[in-house]
Amino acid sequence: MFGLVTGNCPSGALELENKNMNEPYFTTRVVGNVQIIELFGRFDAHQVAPVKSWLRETCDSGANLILFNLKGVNFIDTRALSLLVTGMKWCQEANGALRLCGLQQPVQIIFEMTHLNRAFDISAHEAEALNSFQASPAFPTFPTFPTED
Amino acid sequence: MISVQELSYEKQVLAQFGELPNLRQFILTTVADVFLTRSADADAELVGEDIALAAHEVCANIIDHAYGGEVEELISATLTVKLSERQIDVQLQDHGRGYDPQKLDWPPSESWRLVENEPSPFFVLEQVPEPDIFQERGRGVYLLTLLLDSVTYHPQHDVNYWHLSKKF
Repeated sequence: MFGLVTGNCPSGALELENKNMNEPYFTTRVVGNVQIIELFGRFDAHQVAPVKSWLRETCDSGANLILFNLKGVNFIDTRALSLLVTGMKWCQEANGALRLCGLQQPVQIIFEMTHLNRAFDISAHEAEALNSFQASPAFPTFPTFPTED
Repeated sequence: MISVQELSYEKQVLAQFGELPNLRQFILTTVADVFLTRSADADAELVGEDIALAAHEVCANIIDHAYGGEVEELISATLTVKLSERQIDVQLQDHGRGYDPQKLDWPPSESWRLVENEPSPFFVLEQVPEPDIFQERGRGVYLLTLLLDSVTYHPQHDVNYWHLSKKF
């Protein structure tokens, strides 16, 4: 434990430290042609490197349709936003798309403050997002997805 | 009876991205506690979230630019609530490499005003242009100007100070 607290620190500050440190940051799965990554808890500078590696490997393998399901994310920082912009560019360069779904209110607020809500195609739920890939004019022959939401 | 108008709290975290949640939690909990016990008629959650996110962004910059990556060094935070001025200050200190923010690629050099140079430089963050929507980096410093009322940076030979202020 490296956190040092001096002065009249309110109770609770220490107990919450290092919570969920051992839980996975994200899981991935494939539905149809869409690679889905679902993140949990914080999506910030600490998670950017592993998520970027997954994104790079996924794009290198030829996948170009990626969905970030952020319904489990309650905090996002600008490094994570930068990674999403990078991922969107990679997908677009491969004639694909990177989309988002499930933004909680604190995350939605950051997207609005930075105006990135205008840059991304954002859906409320995963099923809706999967259908938006299908409906995109860029993918006229896109298959229909079975949706579980 | 002495009326306490200024309350200060301190915390240190390692200069590692995985440690930053501890700083955020410290700020959120401290602001909530002070507002609750001092009956400040402001929304502790909103104020706390704004200043905690700003401090997180500055610490991430400290790790990247002052320490050149994640290291076993400390970042010290002092949170001061000034009740009569209705202001929260967070001062962040590191012992990494001080730098000239006017010489970074982003934001444009005119975003920082050099208010004094002797004995050590003192910079004030002014207006930062909104990054291009597809710009990959540089949103952190832009976000600071939206979240806070004042940001200063004071690099010295052995310690660098960031000072963040927000009115409530």
